Amino acid sequence: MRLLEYRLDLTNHGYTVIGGDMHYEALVERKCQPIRMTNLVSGSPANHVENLIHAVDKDWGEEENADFFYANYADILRGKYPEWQIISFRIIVGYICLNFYNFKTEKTGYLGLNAELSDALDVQFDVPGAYGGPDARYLVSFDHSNGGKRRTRVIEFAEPVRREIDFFFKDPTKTNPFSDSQYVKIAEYANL
Amino acid sequence: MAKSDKAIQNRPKNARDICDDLKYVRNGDSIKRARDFIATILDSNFVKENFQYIQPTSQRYATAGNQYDDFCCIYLISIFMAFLSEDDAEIMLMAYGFLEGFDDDLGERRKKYWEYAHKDNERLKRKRRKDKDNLLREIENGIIEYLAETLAGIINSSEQMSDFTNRVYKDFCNNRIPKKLSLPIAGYLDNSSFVKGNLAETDAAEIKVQHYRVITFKVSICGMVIYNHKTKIPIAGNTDEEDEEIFDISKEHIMAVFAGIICLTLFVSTHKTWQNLNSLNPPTIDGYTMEPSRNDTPEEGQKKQDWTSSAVPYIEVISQSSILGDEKAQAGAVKPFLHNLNLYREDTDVVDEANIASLGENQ
Repeated sequence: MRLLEYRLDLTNHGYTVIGGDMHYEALVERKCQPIRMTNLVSGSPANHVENLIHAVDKDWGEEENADFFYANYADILRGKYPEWQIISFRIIVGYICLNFYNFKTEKTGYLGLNAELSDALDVQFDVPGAYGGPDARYLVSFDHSNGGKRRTRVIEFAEPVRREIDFFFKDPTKTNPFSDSQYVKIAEYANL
Repeated sequence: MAKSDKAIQNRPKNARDICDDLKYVRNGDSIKRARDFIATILDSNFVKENFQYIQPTSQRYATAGNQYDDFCCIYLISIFMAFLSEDDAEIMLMAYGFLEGFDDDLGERRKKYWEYAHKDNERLKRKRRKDKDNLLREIENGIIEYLAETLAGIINSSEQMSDFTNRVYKDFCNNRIPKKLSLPIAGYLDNSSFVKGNLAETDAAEIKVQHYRVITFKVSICGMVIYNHKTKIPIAGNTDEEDEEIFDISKEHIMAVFAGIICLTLFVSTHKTWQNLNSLNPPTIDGYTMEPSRNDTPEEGQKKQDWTSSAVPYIEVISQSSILGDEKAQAGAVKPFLHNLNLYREDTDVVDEANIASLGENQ
């Protein structure tokens, strides 16, 4: 096994995972493969998603309230509308940004999960390989181990490499993950 | 050409494909992407007629690079301005990098544009989301879908497409639309052929196309132009382009020349010194004694003193060696020096060895 530790600045779309082989800006939604999201409680898959629903940041405007996706976001997260699938997600400090796509109506939707709005937010994503390869697994957690502040961590399993990725603001006094610069510290374990 | 670049070439022109292509064009270098996209919708004969010429060397068509790139940018700008509302056109110009002052990465451009326009732009007024990048992207995608539907209808009608292309070409030739528009863009809409609700024909007489190519021959040193000559060559077709051939004598060339001069100078001076050593010529010779005298100025006295000191080693060498027989040739080389020291008798061609010995002893 080989260990490599390094640090990277995040730019543009930072840490984004897509269910397809294309740039986020050139994303052709209908060509993406759906990403499975599983709610974890104490490290095990849970049979509910209520803590995820609590974590949804309802930051959309009044106009979008009438939109089917935003009116039914809770049931979409519960899986009652299987045509709505996650096609990409992005991790920033304290947040998971989810992009949904309706494979029937070709509509899109967006939800932000704010770790501050839920006591526990541990999620597992299973992403199909772009060329028929094995799925990659991403464990996203927000625990309190960083001196009282919640630490944003992704553990990435893409055989034969495991990466533990921690997210930080460049300026520790900053708080807006959508506009303030961030970096990641990575511990990479290879030849597992 | 990258795999994804090929992916947007030679496709059937339905709305879905145009939509995918437009999304692809949005990311990255705006000029290159504009060229890629326009290549998929523009008639190849139009390009050949107006932007290509036959290369004299290969006898093949070559595209007049910069002019064609500019035209592609203006074509894409014109598409936004002709088929979208002013608010939507502004968002698209920002997203595709054609808005003055919005030159950062796409994500940064979106955040900046939101700050600028969310109170005025109808598309943004009632929208709200913490992730502005994602919000703008979603709005752009909606506009792209609408635009793709419209474009699909026009592209499949060759007459409409040709008409639109000719209008853009007129605007391009008359410099009506710059490559980057500054806010607000309403002024450009009035200025172009695409005045909303009044797509009247532009007078053909307005076209001021230059039917020649300008070749500029420049000679410059470190950016300073010392020779500049322009030649206008009439060519067939409506082309306004400038081929510039610059011969720049760069800093490296100048350094190389200087280095050569220094090397040559060093070589010459070294060679000269070696010759001086061999000849052992004193600095002053005829009609001048090296013996310090009362009438000498202090400077002259010092000079003579220095010369006497520097001559000592030679005197020692001479006193310890024989300058006779086979070594006559060598002796010839030291004759002038010995002459100055009164050790050489010209009439007999003999060196006064006794004097040399006594001189050595004195030293």
